[in-house]
Amino acid sequence: MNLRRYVARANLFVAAVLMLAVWMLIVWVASRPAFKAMVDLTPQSVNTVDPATEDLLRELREKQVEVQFHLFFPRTSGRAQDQAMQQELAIRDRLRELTRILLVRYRALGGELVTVKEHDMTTDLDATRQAAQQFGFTDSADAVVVACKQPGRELRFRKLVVSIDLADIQWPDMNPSAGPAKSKVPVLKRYLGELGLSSTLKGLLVQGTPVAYVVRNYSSPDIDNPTIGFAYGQLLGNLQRLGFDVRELNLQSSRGVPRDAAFVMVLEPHYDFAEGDAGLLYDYVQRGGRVFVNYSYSSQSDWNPDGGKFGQLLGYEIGKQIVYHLIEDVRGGGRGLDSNEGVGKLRLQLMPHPVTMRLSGGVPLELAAAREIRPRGASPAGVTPRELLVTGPQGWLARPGSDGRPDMKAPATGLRPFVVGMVFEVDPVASTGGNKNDPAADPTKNSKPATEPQKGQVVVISGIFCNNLLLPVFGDLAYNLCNWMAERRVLMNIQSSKHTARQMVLQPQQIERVQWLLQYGVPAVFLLGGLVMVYRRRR
Amino acid sequence: MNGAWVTFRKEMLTYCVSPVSWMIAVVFYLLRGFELTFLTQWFGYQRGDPDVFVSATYNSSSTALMVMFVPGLLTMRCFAEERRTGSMEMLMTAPVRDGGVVIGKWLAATMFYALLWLPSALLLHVLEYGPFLDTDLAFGPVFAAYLGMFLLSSMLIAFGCFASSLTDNVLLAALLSIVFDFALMRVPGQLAAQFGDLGDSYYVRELLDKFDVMSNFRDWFARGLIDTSQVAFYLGGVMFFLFLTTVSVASRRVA
Repeated sequence: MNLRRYVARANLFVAAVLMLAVWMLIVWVASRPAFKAMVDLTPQSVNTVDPATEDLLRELREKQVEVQFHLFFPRTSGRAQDQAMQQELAIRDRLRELTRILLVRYRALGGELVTVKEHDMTTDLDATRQAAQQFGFTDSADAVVVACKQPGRELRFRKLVVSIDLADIQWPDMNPSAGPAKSKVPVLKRYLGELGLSSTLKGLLVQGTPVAYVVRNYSSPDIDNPTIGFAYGQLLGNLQRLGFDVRELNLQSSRGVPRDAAFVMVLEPHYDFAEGDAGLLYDYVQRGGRVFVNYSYSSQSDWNPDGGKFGQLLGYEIGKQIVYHLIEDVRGGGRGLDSNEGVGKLRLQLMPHPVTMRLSGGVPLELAAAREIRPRGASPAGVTPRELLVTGPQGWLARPGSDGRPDMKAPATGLRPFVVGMVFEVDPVASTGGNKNDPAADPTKNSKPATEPQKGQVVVISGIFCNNLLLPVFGDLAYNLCNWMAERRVLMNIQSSKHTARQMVLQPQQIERVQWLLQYGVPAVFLLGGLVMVYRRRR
Repeated sequence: MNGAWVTFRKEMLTYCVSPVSWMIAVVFYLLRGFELTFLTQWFGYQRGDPDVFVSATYNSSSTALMVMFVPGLLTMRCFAEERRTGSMEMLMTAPVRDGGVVIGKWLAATMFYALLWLPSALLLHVLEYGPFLDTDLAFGPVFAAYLGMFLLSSMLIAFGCFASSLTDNVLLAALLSIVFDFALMRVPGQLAAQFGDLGDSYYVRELLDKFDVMSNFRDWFARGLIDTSQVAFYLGGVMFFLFLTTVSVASRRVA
């Protein structure tokens, strides 16, 4: 009898071992990154990362690049003194949570080469101290260190402060002279985790820090203000976060574009470039430099430069009139909603170009206050123009109305598409007779061997799309442009954000009703059901 | 298959008329009621994001208690009671296969467990309306959490059935099951910390993450994210423990 029992137990044991092996095999196969699939059922798809991030992580896996995310989330204790502090702590918690979720996704997609480590002083003092020393973490703010090690190269890392680099938080204005604040507590507007982490990761893959020069003396003095809607402070700040070194440039005092420039930006110039400055810029472009000029339309007629000497050298001219486009009246079936301000925003057709590749899948791109870009005679030698942004087919050039402002009424005839964005490729050999690539002939030329000379590129866009007001919606084009001009192809197509925070505002009566329902109503129903059941069983 | 269906119906009826089942429901919803009220107050005070509310409802002690205790309580009688009362012999001699009996009992316990959770999902829907929270709650995470809980409980109940098949002491069977559930909730996390660099290895980490069932549930399913490798893990676990239960029941017959 005993023997049979032992045999039965042994049988059970062997079966258990075999079946365990099968189970582990199933788990192993299902855990292979190639077989893993994830379904995101959240309403804003907060757990889904952008295809650009998926591509990046796949690429990193193929190239055997080790990626480390180190989370330094110091513990907070005690109770907040006021509502603002309370809200700040709640936002901090939420951001930690969102970052953790996002990194779980990165880890799942990245496979064995992606590690996520959360350092906690209270549980592992030595490791935390060591990591803090390694990454220079000293403050008490929540931070994520993104570290990247390419095969045969040293570890590179960058620290991101969660509340600054990974989130858009609206802070209450504490300045009493600023008038009544809209909100007395901070509000989490958007979580920018993926933008921050993926951009940093991509930035770390690119060796060196590209320097972006902003020409200031042709634009509004407060062009770098991050709070005024028409300024560009947010774009410049975000470029720094994306790994650019953004510097000011005065062409006259610097006598040319510095050699370390990755590209030069001129944002909403109010005047044409002085002849000398235009020459310096063109010289830089001929040496393979990159320039981005973003014109706009101004109601002050002398603030509408037409391209001037720089335009002559490249063969373009900017019209003086604003371009409007018809918006179809879907209700009445009429020709258009004349006198609707919406016509001021041009929905654009994107011409095939590296900077516009992924944009077609997102929000349709619009330009505000755009003017026509037209050729100025035949293209100069060595300059190849390409259309980048074109309006729809029902555009027109608005003429001043009786009040002096552009008339929004569409003309009966003559509607056509207008070019509002162009790229000019400048061939250094053809445009300079072949001597510009010779380092001996040009002392400012980079001393790199010129086996394949870099072509100069000038991007001209004649409407507004990346000022503080429009950057959250159409910023991807601006980032793509900058990354393309800095030759950081790997950095293009980063989505700016996905998650938009909502708020639950509850009245005390609502909470009271919830309390009655959940604490008394539901348990009472089950109790009653149980009693009925017992009663029926007894009968 | 007929044997499994007959066993399922019989067991399901037993669960539905058992006072213990109703008591579990009352205690669970009472506890959950207090937790959700507190959570609602917290969200109201913090102006929390409604998209997070649903996930937060599953990150509660009532969920942990349901996972730790209830599978064991539901399955403790499955085979142990049959053996103790002598009805096991009748069952074994009945024209049903061992596998059918095991599947029927497991399915009934799993379905009853799922039924216990169902009102919690309906309640969230009720809370959406004007008199209560008056907000749109995300039901994707509710579905994912429900699926996750179903898969997790399926595996734990399968283990409960196995534990019940090992002994004729009902309390011992429940205790075994509770200890196992508790271990699954605590040990993998501790192990990961002890493993050091080995814990950073992708497959070790994946395995430990999957065995850390509560974190797994909180970090994935409750947040509306379904990972197919986890679904495979739970289904594999169900198969494993049901197979063991069948072998155990069959070996008892031999012994």
